[in-house]
Amino acid sequence: MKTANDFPPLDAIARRNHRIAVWSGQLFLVGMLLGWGILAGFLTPPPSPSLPTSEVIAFFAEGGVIQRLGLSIALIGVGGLIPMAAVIGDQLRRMEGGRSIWADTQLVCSGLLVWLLSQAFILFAVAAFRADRDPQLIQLIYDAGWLTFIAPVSMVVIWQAAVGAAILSDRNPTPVMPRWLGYLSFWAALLSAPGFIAILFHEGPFAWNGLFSLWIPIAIYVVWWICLTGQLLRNISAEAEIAAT
Amino acid sequence: MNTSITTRTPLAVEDGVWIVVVGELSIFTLFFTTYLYYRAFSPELYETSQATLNIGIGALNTLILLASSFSVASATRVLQISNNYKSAFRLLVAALLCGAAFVILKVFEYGSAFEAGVNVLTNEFFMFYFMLTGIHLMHLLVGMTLLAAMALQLRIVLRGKGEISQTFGGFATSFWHMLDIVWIVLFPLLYLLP
Repeated sequence: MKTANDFPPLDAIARRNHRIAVWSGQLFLVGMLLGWGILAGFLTPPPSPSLPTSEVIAFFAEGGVIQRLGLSIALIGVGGLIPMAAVIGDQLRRMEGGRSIWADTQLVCSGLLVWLLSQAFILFAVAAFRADRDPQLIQLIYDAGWLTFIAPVSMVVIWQAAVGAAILSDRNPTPVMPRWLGYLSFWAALLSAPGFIAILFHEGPFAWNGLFSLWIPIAIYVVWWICLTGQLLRNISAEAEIAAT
Repeated sequence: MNTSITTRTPLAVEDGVWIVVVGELSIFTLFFTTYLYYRAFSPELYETSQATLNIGIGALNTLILLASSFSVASATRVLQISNNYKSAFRLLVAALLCGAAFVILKVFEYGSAFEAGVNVLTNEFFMFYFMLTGIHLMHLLVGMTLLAAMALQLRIVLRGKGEISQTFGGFATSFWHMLDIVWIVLFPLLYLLP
């Protein structure tokens, strides 16, 4: 089996490319939080599922250009996840060796997540695009957008669990990533799982704007993401030292 | 080094396990605080709904989980002081059977609630009742999977192939005790609170 030591370390150009990929991944977070969350107004505060139809229409009608700008930023930024996921996969392959199932799993999950989130942002953009259409249709698009965003949890859960599984089963003498990050990934997967229950409730802590369906999964996601980004950048720099020896 | 010591494999709980255990306990504390917060607004609704719960099944499930934790702790102890993988394996199977009994009783409890025309959307109390016990149950299934994997490892060791992972065993058993602690708080909050 190949181990981390068997893979040739990255040369200077490869290290630069890997760093670019990791930083492009940050566009994903910026697009989500700044674009979708703040500019488009979906987190300030998140509109409730029990909002009367008239207020749903007002939400899109009054969102104006800023809302569509925010959604555009989200739509552009979300793709930044893909190069970042390639770097995660590269590090996971160092842990797993050549026959790397967790690296492949996380890559597929990231790709599908990008597609899925784009779908949710497009639905919101469709509602904003012609906010004067039949109120019932606006309501439908609003529900469809939110549930597309929040309910299909398996992509995130399996993604985080796959990263955790790879870190915790790393057999290299010097682990590629610290084991606590593996446990953190596993915990993040557990916390992301309850998002699907948002399909049940129109209000309360389990609804799509509630503490347990929205805020906790987002919070743990951001914590996990920052820890992972820091570790990837450290690992890329560490390869410079390996290459120098 | 003494060979009997090198072949022994006491479980090791890594530092990182605490991220999961302390993290889960804090999130469940947040669940409980939210429940108590909502409860304070309409105590009567909660009291009348709570009165329909079957305290007997809840109490029985508490005992079952305590027994399973005792089994898991005994298995840990056995691995710490001896090479008796067979007895550790049996203790884990006993804990898994307890876990299965818990799940069956829970399904029965949910079933009789549905028959009585009560479900997760009935009112706020039942939203919390089904969600808190449901999320705990989901975690319990994850915990059972971890314990089952550990038991399988022991079986492979008993057949003379492979070895058990100390760190995985440490994680699986800590996770199980965490589930027990959560239930011990959850049970009085949902079933007994005056």
